Amino acid sequence: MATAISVNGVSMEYKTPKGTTHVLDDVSYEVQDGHFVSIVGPSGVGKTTLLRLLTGLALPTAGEIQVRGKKISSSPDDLAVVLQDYTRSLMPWLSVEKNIALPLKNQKLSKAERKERITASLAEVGLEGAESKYPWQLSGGMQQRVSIARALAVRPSILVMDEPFASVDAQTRFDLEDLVLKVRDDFGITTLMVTHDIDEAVYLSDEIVVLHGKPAKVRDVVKVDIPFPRSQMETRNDQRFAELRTHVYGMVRGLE
Amino acid sequence: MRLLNSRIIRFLVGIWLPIVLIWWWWTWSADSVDPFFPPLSAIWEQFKFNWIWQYVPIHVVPSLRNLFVGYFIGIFAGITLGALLGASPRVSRYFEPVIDFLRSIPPVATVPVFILFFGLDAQMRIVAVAVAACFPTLLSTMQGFRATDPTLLDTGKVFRLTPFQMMWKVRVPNASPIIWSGLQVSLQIAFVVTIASEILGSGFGIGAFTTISIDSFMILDAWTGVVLLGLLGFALNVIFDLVERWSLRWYIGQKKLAS
Amino acid sequence: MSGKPLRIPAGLVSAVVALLIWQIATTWGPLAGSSVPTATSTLAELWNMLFMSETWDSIWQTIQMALYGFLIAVVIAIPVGILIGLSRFAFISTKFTFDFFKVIPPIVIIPITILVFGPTLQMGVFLVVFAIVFALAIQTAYGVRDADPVLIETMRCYGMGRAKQVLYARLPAASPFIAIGIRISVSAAMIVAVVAGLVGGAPGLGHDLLLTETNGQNSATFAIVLILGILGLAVSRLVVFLQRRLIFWTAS
Ligand SMILES: Nc1ncnc2c1ncn2[C@@H]1O[C@H](COP(=O)(O)OP(=O)(O)OP(=O)(O)O)[C@@H](O)[C@H]1O
Ligand SMILES: [Mg+2]
Repeated sequence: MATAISVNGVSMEYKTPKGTTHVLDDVSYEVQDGHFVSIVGPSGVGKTTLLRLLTGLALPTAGEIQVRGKKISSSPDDLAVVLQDYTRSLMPWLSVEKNIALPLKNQKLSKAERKERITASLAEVGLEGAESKYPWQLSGGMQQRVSIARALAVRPSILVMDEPFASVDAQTRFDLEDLVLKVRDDFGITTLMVTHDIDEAVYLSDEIVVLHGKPAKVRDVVKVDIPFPRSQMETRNDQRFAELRTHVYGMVRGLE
Repeated sequence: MRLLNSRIIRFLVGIWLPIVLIWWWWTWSADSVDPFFPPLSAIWEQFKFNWIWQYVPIHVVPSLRNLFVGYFIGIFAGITLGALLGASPRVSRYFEPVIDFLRSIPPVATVPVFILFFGLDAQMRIVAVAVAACFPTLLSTMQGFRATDPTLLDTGKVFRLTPFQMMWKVRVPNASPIIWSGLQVSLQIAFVVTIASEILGSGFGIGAFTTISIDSFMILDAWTGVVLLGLLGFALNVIFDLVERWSLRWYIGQKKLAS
Repeated sequence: MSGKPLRIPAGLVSAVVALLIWQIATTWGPLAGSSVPTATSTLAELWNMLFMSETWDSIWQTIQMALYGFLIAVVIAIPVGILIGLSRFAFISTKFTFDFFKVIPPIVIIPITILVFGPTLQMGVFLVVFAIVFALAIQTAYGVRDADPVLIETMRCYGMGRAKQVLYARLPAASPFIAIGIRISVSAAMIVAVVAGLVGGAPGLGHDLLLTETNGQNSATFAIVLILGILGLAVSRLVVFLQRRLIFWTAS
């Protein structure tokens, strides 16, 4: 299996007027093609920072990140992102349709193809017919689905998400989790997700990367050996699920 | 006061005062012999005679042309410069004090300066209007650009938008509520400077017509000029409001929902 | 940049550069030999004017017109605004009329004021009042209406009368609105005082500007424009300063 992303000895420091904050220290990790990987860790540990480095929004102070063997220096192609703050990552002056269309404008697509992509990805997230609505006319969960649809519409080979379900209600959250798994199956997308929620990480992932410390290092990589397909009811009641989540939870809290 | 929730009632309540005021002016001035305050009926007759449509080509057309040409040049320059300065705080630090000083000069006071530069012709008027209209738009654009939400910029970057898209699909719309308020001030100032340049520059235009009427003691004509300018000033604002509201419907809708 | 002791304020740099560009353009550049004066001759004129009592008289006359007009407008607009704001009927009744006069710039009525007042101080004062009174009244009314309805309701439940509601709920709610209105009004008052002189012939800096321009005293014209800029800047700074001092509860 090929490597989709490799993170090699990455360190990150923020320079502020008050001095430098050392956030990440010598982080190394490889994501295999088609895998679902979650990054967990306590709040403020540097998860979003790592994700900004992966998406080329910031450059590491040491080390390098390669996407499909190429070192990245800006946002790589065929990678799509769902940012943490979805209420502010959709353009409020564009309708849902135009929001999704915006990144597609630079791909060589005919008008009809573009239209088709938009319809298809909206259908994928269960938002048929919302094309002409403005984002702020939709509920939080629906907005989040639009931003997932926008990411899917570019047909990325890698999908990166920062706490995508943090502020939606529990029911929507389960639906969206299953949606993400389905998308991964349908398109074979390599998926990287930052989350606070350890249950969610265990439920979705092939592997969980635990960040810990100040500056943060990779504390451990947990392989989730629960077979796919998974289901909300059964998987979450599984013996193995409980063991894994206790294990990860302990590491995140620094108990183990 | 539940009644006032109905649109029609609100409209009727809104217009009783203007109607009363006009009626009062009409009857009060009906048999006025004061040369400065002729009967409204006489002003009305003269108004129809002057402005429908006799003097429109020689006075109204040049006024509106100078106003709009100057205004659009001014706001184009204002948006462009404001965008450049707003997007790069380091550069703007050097320009800001000079801009701050220039905008503190009353816009009309620059008209004599432009007369020195360009003489008394239409070109002078257009440049004066453009320069005066530039500043409010420039300042509001600068302010709007500074406030660009970093999350939106990040979103644009990760989806690899072109610089052109970043500018016109992200930064400008994001700043547009603030830019629009600058555009409105610019329009009001452009209107004032247009009139001032006509009064000071003499010749054509509604402002010039009105002053010449005063100087030659044609009081009725002067009144029609004042009324026309008043109506024009009001109409410009109303039209502007409509365009703004249409263009910012996403913003208005969003705010309404939030409250 | 590192060398801290050598830090020159950006404002000074840009002011000097602007003056240099002006000087070069009028001495060797495209404006050489035109009627536009050089920076040095303008500054020299400005220096001279500072020692002439006429200059200070004009400045004082302009300030007087602005100040009297402003005070009269405040005395009228704020009570009227409060009254209008207290009743929805009054608010809707007057809104259209006030909006109409609010957007009519005073320059439009200058021909009429010349007839009535002649080119006098009173004319300037009247124009200043006309320019700001409507906007300030509307602004005040908006502020009064902005009071928290829950608070008003609570006060009513405790049997507090109209007067107390106004004093403890409406006015505090309106004060930030009034503060903004006043800030805008002061700048507008100065501008209109100049316009009244320049276009209407009322005494003061505006009138001087017109005189020097028609007499071909070009450096003086430019010098007056500089004075106006400095004056405008000073006034707006002063207002911001005073408001910070006096109305400390408005955060902006
Ligand atoms: N632009 C920045 N400048 C300076 N320090 C920063 C910056 N961004 C983040 N930090 C600091 O880096 C550390 C890690 O922040 P980061 O946002 O990556 O944490 P996180 O793990 O995503 O937290 P959360 O779970 O709350 O989202 C924090 O201590 C934060 O204060
Ligand atoms: Mg985060």
